[in-house]
Amino acid sequence: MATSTTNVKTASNEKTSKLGTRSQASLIWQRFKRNKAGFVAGIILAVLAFLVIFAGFLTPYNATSFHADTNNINFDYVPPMISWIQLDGLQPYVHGLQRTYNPLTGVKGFVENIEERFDIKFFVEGEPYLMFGFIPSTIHLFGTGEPEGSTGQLFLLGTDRFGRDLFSRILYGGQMVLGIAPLVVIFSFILGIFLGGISGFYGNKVDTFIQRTVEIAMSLPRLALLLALSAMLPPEWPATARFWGIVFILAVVGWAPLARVVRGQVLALREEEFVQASRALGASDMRLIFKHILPNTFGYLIVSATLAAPSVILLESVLSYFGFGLQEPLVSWGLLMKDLTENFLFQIQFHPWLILPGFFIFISVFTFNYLGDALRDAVDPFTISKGENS
Amino acid sequence: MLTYLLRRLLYTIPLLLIISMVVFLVMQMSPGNFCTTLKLQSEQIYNECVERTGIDQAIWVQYGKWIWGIVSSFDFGFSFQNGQPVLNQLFTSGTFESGNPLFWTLVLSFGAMIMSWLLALPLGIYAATHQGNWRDWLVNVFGFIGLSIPNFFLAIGILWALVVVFQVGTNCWQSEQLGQTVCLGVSGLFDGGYVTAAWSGEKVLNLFWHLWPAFLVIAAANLAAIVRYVRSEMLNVLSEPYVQTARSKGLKERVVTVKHALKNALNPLISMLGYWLPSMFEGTLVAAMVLQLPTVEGAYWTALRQGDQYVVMAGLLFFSMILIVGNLLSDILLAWVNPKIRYQ
Repeated sequence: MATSTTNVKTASNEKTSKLGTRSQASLIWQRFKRNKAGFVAGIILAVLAFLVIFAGFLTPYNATSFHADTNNINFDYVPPMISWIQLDGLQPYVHGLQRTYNPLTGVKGFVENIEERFDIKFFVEGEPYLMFGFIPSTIHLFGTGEPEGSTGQLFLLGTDRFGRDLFSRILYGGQMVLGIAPLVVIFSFILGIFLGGISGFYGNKVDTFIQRTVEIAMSLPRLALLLALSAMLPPEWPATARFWGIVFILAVVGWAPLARVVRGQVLALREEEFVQASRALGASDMRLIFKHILPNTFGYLIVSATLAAPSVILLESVLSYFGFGLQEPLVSWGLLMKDLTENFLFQIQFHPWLILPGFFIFISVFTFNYLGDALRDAVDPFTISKGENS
Repeated sequence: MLTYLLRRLLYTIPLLLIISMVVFLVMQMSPGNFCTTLKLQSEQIYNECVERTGIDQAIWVQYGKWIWGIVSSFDFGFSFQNGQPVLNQLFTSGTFESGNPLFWTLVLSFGAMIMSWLLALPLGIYAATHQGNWRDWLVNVFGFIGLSIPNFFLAIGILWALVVVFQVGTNCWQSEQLGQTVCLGVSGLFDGGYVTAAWSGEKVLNLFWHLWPAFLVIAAANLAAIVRYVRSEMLNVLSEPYVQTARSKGLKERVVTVKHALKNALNPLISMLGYWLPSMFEGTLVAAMVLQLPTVEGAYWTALRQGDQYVVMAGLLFFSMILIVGNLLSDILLAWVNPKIRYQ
């Protein structure tokens, strides 16, 4: 539809072609830019994606390395040090870590040791990591640059029970979370578009059969089934195999509503003149579906992809939080919060920073929702007239 | 209409049958079974366990027996854990106070549903009538927040605020691990002392004190969605010519909003009541897992972790049932509020 309308315009009106025609995409972009909230959400999401992609460089530590002092005792449950950072002129620094033990309450902890001072250096040598998964490097954006075992550490958001840096783990976990969402969406879209397209195009028996399947799939309780399905994955599987298992399960649970939407769209487009014309020219069924009909549903597909992403993120987090999703040594935001579940009341009272990954889940879902909403308005060509009163 | 209803009801039977097959397959695909862990203890205990549960029989034999039990005597099998019938384990185990699962599930799900509608209607109307205003914007942002916050995270957040920030809870004990007093008043249904106590005003208060976080967690996501629907429906209706007519007659704005606009805006929303139902139960599942509530979902969660085959299957069937009933209900409601729709 996009190309056909522009062509008609250029043919009928020479003037417009001199002024330059505007493609569907640029019209959508125009409408999208007008929506401030959606635009801001897009920027936040882009920043989040940037943080996550360059996690290796931006974080002072690796996600899985344990940190311990010279006596090989873990820096476990160090509170967030972000508020301990002080400025000496323009030079930020932190004090050293000192263990505390309250014999009365039995609670262990850490405080600042005012006598020690460690400058925060930039572009500092640190733990080796692989940039983008294949470029080896040891340069980190910031850190204390102290050797392993030193009390001069910089745990921005605190550590977990093995002395792993929570800030680094959150950024690395973001790779998993923001990676799993598009993967799942793509897989369920392939299933949904294929089945929905065929169902809408052929109608009759094929349609009835696929629609009944969709109906069954939609009568299954989503979360309860997800839990049961992931309980089914063998526990001895390595973490990566389990990752793909979870992706597959999430896609299997998510394709049905999509197939229904695609079917409706195809059903309507099937009778359009341009499809009939192409059919009269002798185009094959597959060409009709994939060349003429599906491209016209892309706008809606992109919107539903954006709106499907948050529910994938939410489901993955719930699964991982309850120990049914991803497993160590992989990191995801839900999995990071799983530390809370053991002895919940103790953890939440004395190590409350463990709930921080939840805010990242919230922010990414929130921005995805806003972005999807703005995209929906932008893609719908009728929003210009409606825009003023809604 | 009646024939349509009958046909829909009859149609659910093969649907449920297929779902039961899917559910059974899901359970069968899991590696190991309920008894596998006992193998470590001794071969004999393992064999006894297999004997008791009949877990080594061929799949179709197990499935056939299970389905036949359901059809012939409404017997959904038994719990491997304690030999209780599944329905008992899932729905009616425990006393009223320690938690009759079905009762508490219904209370929580429907309570949350009523609560979210009672809150969402005024908020949505307010946002629609003050459209473009900062208060409208505020409602909108809150809507998105409610929609985006993971409900387990909300539950944790509430617990954190109650335990750490406000230090509430009358159920305090001396913790050996911490050596100090730990207070908790928000998990389960009652504080320790009240479980066995006779009913009194205080006990009811205590119950409500325990239930409100659960209500909030379950209602949050749906509350946000309903507010958004109410707002957009109201906006649609408020721009109709008949509303303008009503205004030009000199009716008070209140009367126009409530009597003329709201009544018509509610129609499509009522039909959606059925769709909210399943999501309420999903919310209850998460709330039950975090807040340790003795609901059907809680029983399902326990069974799932133990690999208690028949209880999990019956649980999944129950949740499917609710989904199907919810959809049917919304179709019926749709025809009821909109006379133009007739089912053949």
